[in-house]
Parts: sequence; C-alpha cells; structure tokens
Amino acid sequence: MDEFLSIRILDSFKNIFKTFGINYELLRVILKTKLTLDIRRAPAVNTNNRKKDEEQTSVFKGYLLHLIFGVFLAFFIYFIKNQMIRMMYFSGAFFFMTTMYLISDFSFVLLDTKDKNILLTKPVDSRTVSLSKVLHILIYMFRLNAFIAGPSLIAMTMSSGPLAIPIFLFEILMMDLMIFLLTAFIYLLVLRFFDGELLRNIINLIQIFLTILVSIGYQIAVRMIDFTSLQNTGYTFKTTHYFNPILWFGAPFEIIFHGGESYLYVFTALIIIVPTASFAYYLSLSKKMERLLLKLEGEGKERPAKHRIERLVGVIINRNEVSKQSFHFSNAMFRSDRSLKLKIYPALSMGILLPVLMIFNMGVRGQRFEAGGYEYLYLYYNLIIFPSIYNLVNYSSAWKGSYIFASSGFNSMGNVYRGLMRSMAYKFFIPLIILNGVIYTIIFKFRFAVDIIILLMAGIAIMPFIGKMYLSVPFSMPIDESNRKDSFWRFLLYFGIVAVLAALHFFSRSVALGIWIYTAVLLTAIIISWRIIPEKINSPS
Amino acid sequence: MSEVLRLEHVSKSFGTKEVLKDINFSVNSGEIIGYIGSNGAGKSTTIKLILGLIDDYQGNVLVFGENIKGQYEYKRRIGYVPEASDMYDNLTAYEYLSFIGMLYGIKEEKSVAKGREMMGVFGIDEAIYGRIHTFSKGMRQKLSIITGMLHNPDILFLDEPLGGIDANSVLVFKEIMKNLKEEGKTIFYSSHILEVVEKLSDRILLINEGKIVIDGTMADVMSKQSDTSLESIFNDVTGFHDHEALARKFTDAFMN
Repeated sequence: MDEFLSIRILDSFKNIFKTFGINYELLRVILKTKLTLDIRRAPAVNTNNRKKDEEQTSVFKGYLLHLIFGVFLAFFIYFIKNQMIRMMYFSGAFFFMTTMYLISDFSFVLLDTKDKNILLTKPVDSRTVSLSKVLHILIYMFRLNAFIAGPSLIAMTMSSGPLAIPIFLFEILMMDLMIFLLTAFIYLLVLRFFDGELLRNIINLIQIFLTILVSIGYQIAVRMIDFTSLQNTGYTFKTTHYFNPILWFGAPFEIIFHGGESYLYVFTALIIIVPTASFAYYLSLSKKMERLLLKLEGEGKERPAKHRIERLVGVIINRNEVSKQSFHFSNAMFRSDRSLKLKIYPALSMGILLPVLMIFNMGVRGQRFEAGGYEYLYLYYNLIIFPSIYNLVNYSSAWKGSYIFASSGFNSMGNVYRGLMRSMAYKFFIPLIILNGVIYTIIFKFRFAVDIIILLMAGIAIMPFIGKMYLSVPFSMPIDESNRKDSFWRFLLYFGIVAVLAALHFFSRSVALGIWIYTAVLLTAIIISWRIIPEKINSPS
Repeated sequence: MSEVLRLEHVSKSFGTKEVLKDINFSVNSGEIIGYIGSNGAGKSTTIKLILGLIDDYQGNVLVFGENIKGQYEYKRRIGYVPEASDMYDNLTAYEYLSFIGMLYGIKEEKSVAKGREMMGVFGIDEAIYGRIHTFSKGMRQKLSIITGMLHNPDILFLDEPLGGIDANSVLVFKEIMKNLKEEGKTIFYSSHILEVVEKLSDRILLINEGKIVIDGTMADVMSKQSDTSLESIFNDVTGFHDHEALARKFTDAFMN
C-alpha cells in the first residue's frame, strides 16, 4: 500500500478531526485500505498480460473522457462573459457529470454492508466508520473534479483574474457536498420505507432513472432560460430561481466583479447554507442509515411472476429448444441482474435522448420542428449505442455461474447466441425503436413510419454481425470489470457499418421503388445473417 | 470463574418478524458454549447483537459486566469469526493482517509476525503475500479464524468456523479450543456440525424459533431428554423425524 496524495492532503487537517474527537490514526488506516481496494477493483481482466504498474495508469485512462469534457466546458467558461450564465453552464454540466459518476460507480460505497461487518466488530467508533465512508466518496469526487473542473479553473483565472480561484474551489466543494448528500438522502428515504428484495429493486430503478434523468435534467435546467446568443445574453432574475441550485453559483462572482443586487446575496448564502446544513443533518442521521442498511442483508419475498407475454413470444420466435431456453434465460438475467441493468438502461436511454436532442436543437435554431425530410437519419443513433450493450451482455454479477457452459459439455453455442440476441431485440432494441417511433409520430405524424420500419429491419439484420464482433460467452465476466473502454478501431469499424446503412437508406429513398428493393434486400439479409452467423460467434480464445 | 456475558430479556424484531423472544442467559469465563439451532432460529442475530452490529433491540446485553449500548471499547476483548467470511479480499493476507491488527491498536510487525505464525500452523503461511480473493474456501476460513484471534481476545464468537477446512486442521483447531479454555478464554461456538459441538462444548444452548429451549451441560441435557446424542436431541426439539421418508422421495425423483 503506497501513500496516497489524497491522504497526505488530509493529514494537514488532522487537528480538525481530533478536535471533533475522531481517532484520526484509525480513520487514516481505514481510508488508506479503502483506496487501495479501489485501485485493485480496477480492470483485472487479462491480468496475465498486464504489467503491474499499469494499475496506476489505468486509473487515469478511465478519466480521459472526463478530461475531454472538462476542456470542452472550459471553452464555454472562457467565451461566455456574463458571470451568471457562465456559472449556470458550468454548474449544470458539473452536477450532471459528477452525479452520473457517483451513482453509477459509487452507490456500492454508500450501500456497502460488508464494511460494517468487518469494522464494527472491532473496537472502532461508528462515527469513524461513517466518516470514512463520506471521505472515501469525497476523495473520489475531488479526483474527478480535477479532470472535469480543472480546465475551467484555468479558463476562469484567465478571464476573471486570480481572485476567482478561491471562490471557484469553494463552490466546487459545496457542489460536491450537495451531490453527495442528495444521493445519500434519496437512498435513505427509500431505505426508510421499504425492505429486502423490494428495496434493492427500488434502489436499482432509482439508480437507473436518476442516471437517465440527470442526463435529461441538465438539458431542461439549462433551457430554463431562453438564450439566443451565448456571448451577449444577460441574466434576468426570477423568484423561482431560488429553487434552482444551478443558478446560484454565479452570484459570488457577480457580486465581486460587478457588485450586486440583494438576490445575489441570497444565492451566495444558499450556496453556503444548503450544503453545510444538510451535511450536519446527514451526520446526525448516519447511525440511522447504518441501521437501515441492515435491511439490505435481509431476504425479501418476491412475488412469483409468470411473464406470460414473454413465454408466448419465446414460443413464437424460437423453433429450436436451445434458443428458446437461451431466450428465457437471457430475459431472466436482464430482469434480475441489478448491476447489469444499471449499466444497460442508462446506455439505452442515450438512444432515445440523442435523436430527440437533435430535433430539439433544430427547434432552438428556429426551424420549429418543420421536418426537413431527413430526420429519420438521427434514428441511426439507436444503432450506435448497440455495441456498448452487446459488450455489457458478456458481463454479469452472477458471472461465476457461467462454469456451467464448460462443465455440461454443451456444444450448441450458436443457438444460445440466437436466443440471447432475440432476447436483446425483444427487451432492448425493439422497444427502443418503438419508443422513438412514438416520439417521431407525435412530432412528425406518420411521415417517417416507413423509415422507422426500415431502421428496425436494418438493426435486426446487423444484430448477428455485432454479435460476431462483440460477444463472448454470455454473462461470463464480473460486471465490475465492464468499465473497460471498447477498442476504438472496432467501434470505428462498427460506426462505418452504421454509416453505410444510413447512406443506403438515404439513397434508396431517392430512387424510384428504391425503398421496396431495399426492404427486400434487408429481409433477405435478416434471414441469411440470423441463419449463418450465430454459429460463427466464437468462445473467447 | 466470573461472569463475562449476560443477556437479559433480549428481544429483537425485523419488521413484524420476531427473531429473538425474551432471551436470557449468562456465560462464565472458561466456558465453551455450543450454540445451536435450525436455520433462521436466531443464532447469528444473537451474535451480531452482542457484537454491536445490531443496536436496536429490547433488553440488556452485558459484556464484562457492562451494558454495551453505545459502547465499542469492549470489542477490544472480543474476537469474532463471522459465518460468511466477509473480508476485504482484494488485499493480500499480509495487508489484511496488518490492517486488522491496526484496528485493535497492534503494531504492524507484531500482527504480521503473529499472523504468519498462526498461518504456519494451518499450513498456509506461504500464501501470506497472495491476494485473499485467490484463496480457496478453506484458506479464507483459516485466515478469518486467525484475524478473529489476532488480538488475544477473552471471548471468542465463532459462527460456523470450520466450513471448508480440511480434517487435519480441524483436529488442530479442536486442540486449540481446549488450550484456550484452559487459559480461561470463553468460547461461544455456533455451528450445525453437531458432532463437533458435542465433543467441544461443556454447555449447550439450543435456540428454537427465537427462544432458548435448552440450556445446560452436555450430561444434564442428555439425561433430561433421555437421548443418546446431540443430534437426536436436536431432532426432538425441532420436531423433525421423517428424514428417511424424505430421502426416499429425493432418490425417487433423482432416478426418474
């Protein structure tokens, strides 16, 4: 266990902890251990080919995306001159990214009970344990902050001078606290009213919805104010803005650089009071939280479900017994593996979000939803998200069960893949297209109905190909390791395929009878690809 | 002999389900208590309660004569080997030993040296630099036993401690229990393997549906129940007699 920078920084606050009667040495040891565990939680697949020092670099690799996002954000910060609007953009984006990350990657820390069993049976104060939990999460948030907010801090200093630095850093701290507390309170609320299996399902649902909601919520929050041009927009105060935290954070800057009106002081006060007061409240609740967490360990009663429609569909679309069983098996896994769901559904939601955003952005530009005739092409974003879902299907939290494929001497994997992909079509792809179809029908009436059907067929036709590119033994790897980034070149190849499909679609529309010929081609492609390719999907070598 | 543990009118419910119903017993130092009961009878809950993992219960739990509510210092003198050996298993055994030692305020060199020696006894000292998640079930359990005893506790709570452990090590383990008893340590032994409990314990506590139904020395219990083994006592108390019929049924299903 090496020394962590974060712990060395924490050391300088040693005395503060001691004044509150916390055993700092103990806290330090616990935190250090937790941080060590987190590094080791990082990708462990291919451990054979991986050199040891790559452990460290992989942590930073994981943040590359956040850094790109951070740099992008910094450009906004630099070019928007109005302090209020600028910080609105920043805090909106910041809340969005950090909450996403916290929920998807750190819920397990908040909801951990193993911790309690190990630590609380030892002579350790429960306050120390709770505090270590909070600090653990905050350290991760700060690390993430450095990538997301770091570039913006530089931009801020460049445009507003060094005075901006302390204010900015303080605001970040407050935002982190708010994000952490909001997440914790929601969990606490759920824990308060439910128990056992139901509780875990609810938490899972909330995790999924929150992740999705946050991505849409940002769009809504930013659009609460109408702006035509970023550079010149001024901010107009409304009383409702007191309830929108995203708008608070520009206030201190506005006060310092322009002097301010009374509402700005209220905003500033809110920035300080809301997080600190809720934090104090949280600490007073932490004992209760630990107690409530115990509910997670208990078993609940699950109502026996029949899944009639699913069984019926299974019989209709599968003529082979193996693929039928694989279809039901996959459905059951998708239904019950919470960690897997938590990864799949947010990825899936981007498929709905992206086309809608594209249309919405047009609206903002003043075209007001008048179809240009090519909007169906946006729907090809639905296909773009598919590799990430295929990739996830290789993982499961119950991955250990996959020994059965080897130990049973089973050798008809082709049909297993067929059932699996039918389940993916049934549970993810087709509902996604239908939902998009509904949205398109609301906006454009039936103008793109044929195109949506073509898209659906094209998607089904290439499903086995994506399977060939991305599938190994289904549900056979630990879900914690699914964060590995997909190979860039493989994705580029896939992107190319989708682009070709979109181009063919576009082309077929511009030729007489083209649509009908293309439909026939796709139909043939579906039959052939589903007949031939599943057998060719190989087990991992 | 002095009293080290006392439960007074302890009750605990999870929601509407009453898990412990008015539990009363006391334990003296140097005793080995066999704590037995069916699955879900309340064994683990009792132990978790004494260890302070559950703190909303009715009644009083006294350890070393003091009520444990809100306390944690008494845990310095208690060792716990949990049933599901929860461990930070991405650590190496070395790191885990020094971490646990630290929690008890033991210096790293001492806890590691001690741990290594104990691992040597169970023949797993070569794995000390290996990460725990690579350990077999038995190795994990051995390490769990060791970390539960690292700090020379006066009371040991062992919840099914022998799962996955090989026969030779079990022999060693039983001898260790005897030695510890002679040293005046108290052992609270909870298990489903009744043969081991019968041989080890000098007193039996049988919990059924949240109530203590039998409390006495082995000899006492045997003569009172006119049974010949702990197993048959257990069957009597829990009202279980049709194992042969059930086995037949299983075999028939197997052959079909």
